[in-house]
Amino acid sequence: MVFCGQLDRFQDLHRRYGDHVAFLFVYIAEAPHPTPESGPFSKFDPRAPLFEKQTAVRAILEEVGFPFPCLFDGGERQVEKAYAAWPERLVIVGKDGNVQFDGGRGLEGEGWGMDEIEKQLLASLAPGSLH
Amino acid sequence: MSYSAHSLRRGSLAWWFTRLPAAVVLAGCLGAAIAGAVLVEGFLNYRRTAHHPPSPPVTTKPATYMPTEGWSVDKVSVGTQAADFCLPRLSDGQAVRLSDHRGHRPVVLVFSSFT
Repeated sequence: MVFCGQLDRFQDLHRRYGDHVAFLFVYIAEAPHPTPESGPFSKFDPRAPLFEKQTAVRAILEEVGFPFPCLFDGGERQVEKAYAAWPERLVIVGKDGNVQFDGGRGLEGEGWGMDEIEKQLLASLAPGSLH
Repeated sequence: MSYSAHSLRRGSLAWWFTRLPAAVVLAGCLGAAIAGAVLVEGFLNYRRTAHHPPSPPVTTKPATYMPTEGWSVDKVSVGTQAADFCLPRLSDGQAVRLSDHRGHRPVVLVFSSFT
């Protein structure tokens, strides 16, 4: 997944802006591997109860030292629908509650443009708020 | 001259012949019991499946992951109110609401998974 490949960049952003910007990771339904030969379809059995999946995800988060809160969108996948988020999406919500930036699904090229995300973060902060 | 079972030599053919009716009755009872058990089991099985059809066989083929039904947008509209949500935080189960940040801090929302 794009996000996993850019986790260190997000950790860096969180370290620098975490006091002024909230970072929320929303765990949604898994996507398949590009080809059946490239790996298992998913780490999780889709028939497994939700709490088992939550436990497994929580263990991974602890293992990698995940830096920001992880929310779980299970069951009806309502949030995923509202943001058309599958399999991945990045959105920046401004202080006023409006969508400020849609980073898209990050599937093209090398993933999300971190420079653009940082630029948007700086734009979302009031001048002088970082000091 | 009359013969009784007691007067016959035990184990002789005539002695076994006098036991034949009892053996027939015993075998009949045994057969009736077995037939009854089979009928009862069949009836109970019918009762179990009549209102609860058997589940489809479990397949090892994984579910198809597709975008959820009900999607109306392919992108999020910049400048519009972000859809509010309330989801449990995995670390402690506490509910987190997006709108709680409104007026306080911008929010970076990342939707993804571990595949």
